[in-house]
Amino acid sequence: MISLTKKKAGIHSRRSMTGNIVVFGFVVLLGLFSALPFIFAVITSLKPIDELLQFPPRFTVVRPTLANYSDLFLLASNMWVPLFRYIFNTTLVAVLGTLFHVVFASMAAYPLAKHRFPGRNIIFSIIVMALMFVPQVTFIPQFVLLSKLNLVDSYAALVLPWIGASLGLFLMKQFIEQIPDAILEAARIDGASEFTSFFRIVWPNTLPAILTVVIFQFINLWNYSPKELVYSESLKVFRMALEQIVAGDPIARMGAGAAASVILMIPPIVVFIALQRKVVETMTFAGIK
Amino acid sequence: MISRLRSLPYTKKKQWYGFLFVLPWVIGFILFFAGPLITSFKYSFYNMELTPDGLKGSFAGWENFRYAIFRDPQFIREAVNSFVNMFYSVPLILIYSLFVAVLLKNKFRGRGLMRAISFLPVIIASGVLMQILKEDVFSQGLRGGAESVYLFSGAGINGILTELGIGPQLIEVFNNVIARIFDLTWRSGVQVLLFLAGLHAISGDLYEASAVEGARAWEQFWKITLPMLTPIMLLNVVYTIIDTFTDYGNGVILMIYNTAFSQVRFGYSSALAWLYLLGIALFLGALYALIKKRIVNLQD
Repeated sequence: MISLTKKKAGIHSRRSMTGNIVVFGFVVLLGLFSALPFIFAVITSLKPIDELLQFPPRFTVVRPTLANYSDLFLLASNMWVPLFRYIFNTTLVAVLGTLFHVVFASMAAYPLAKHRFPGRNIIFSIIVMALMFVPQVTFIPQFVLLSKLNLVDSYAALVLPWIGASLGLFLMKQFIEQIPDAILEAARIDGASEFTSFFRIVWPNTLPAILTVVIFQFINLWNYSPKELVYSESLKVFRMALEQIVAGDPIARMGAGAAASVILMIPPIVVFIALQRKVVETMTFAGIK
Repeated sequence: MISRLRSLPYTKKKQWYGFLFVLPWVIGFILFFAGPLITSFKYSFYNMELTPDGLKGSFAGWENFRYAIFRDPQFIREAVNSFVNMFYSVPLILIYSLFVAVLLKNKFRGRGLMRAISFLPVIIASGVLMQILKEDVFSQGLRGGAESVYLFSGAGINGILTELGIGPQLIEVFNNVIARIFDLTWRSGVQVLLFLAGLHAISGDLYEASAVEGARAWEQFWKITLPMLTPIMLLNVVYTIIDTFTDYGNGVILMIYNTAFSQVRFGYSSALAWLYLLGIALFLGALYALIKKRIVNLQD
């Protein structure tokens, strides 16, 4: 790993006090806008049933209660398959899908960005084209294919298609292009094989981009619930289970639904916060250029 | 195989390693995306029907395409709408997300928290909450368009404003403005993240050197940050355009989806999707050619 230890350039605030206040105010406003739906969800989940059904609905909660959460767990514990199994399924699918996508997409992105080989441009145009296509339209042919391969109703149906997803590849290619050829050439002269230069130079230097792709993909998969692809109860993901609970009786279980949505939101937020810190940390030692 | 690769001349070797690296992805892509893509292209020339023994189709030639362009009252109008919509929303999203990214790049107390908060909409937008918010029993009647969020078009904020004693007309104006801003924050989370990654990749040396030379933050932004960010800018432009065009709330996307799943006309729906794709591709190609020259690459 090349660690050209570098301190962050000191652009210390030469801004005026008023400028700082304006910026700070803007940041707070932005934060409010972005956080409002989440706050709303949390508040909704704390409302007792009569306040949920109140018309017109209010933003605030008068008598906060955790009953919705306990209801949810009560409903979940009465289910056929233990709740833990659903959580395990979601985690497995999200982790494996993310891993496959990130590793294979970044591997493919490296030569597309840095090597000249025949067919390179064609592959890249196909990738951009695939990005533009509406997923709903390929869904039916994809389903037909998966059922021909006998993969429907298995983890493989949820995980394998992500090997060929193009968003991560597209992002990674643009970032890898920014690594100077000089570093790669230096590595080659020092005797690094292509695998070594990929894992020891390209990866550390594009870690922020990789983690960005990881974040996208994880969030995407965490919320992924293709009801058509799995129908065995023991293979279903957490989100499907929660949706089933709520769908059982949409009005009486509204509170439980709100609680479920809050619970579902927490893991992606945690992943995001953890990785975002890592992005910043790596920037300080793996300086490109 | 790898040992044979080692003995090849370097340029040849590099090509072979290139293939080797791309291969796993290409296999996945061909199997799970290219295949279905080609199938859907084939569907677009057929009249697909759902029969008890599965999908059956009869060849229709160009009929689907001809119908879409000349006779469908909805398709062309929706497509034009989504292009017009793209023209003002893409620059807005880009400017806004660049602005936010520059703000969030600065070191300040609680930066990590702010970054997390600014990314919240992306997490929520793809989650169940959206559906629960949208399918809320009472909001059904109150909601105007599908694109705005219940919280603002519905009763969430309205409730507060009414309690504050503000007239209904003012509330409507206020709601519109807020819904727009909200839509913006809602759709620029990914772009902010990309810009942030790009901003962090800019070497600190440049800022240091220019600060020594007496450049101010404003000049640094225009002369260093912006040019160094052009590769990410291109990426973001392409991403945002594609994202706006394929957003679930987009009229054409809804139409394609409904044609396939409510009307069960898979053939026609595929034809629409391919026509739409062609339009976007032409537009992106032209745009790409236009801005490609302005990209700054340090290596050259």
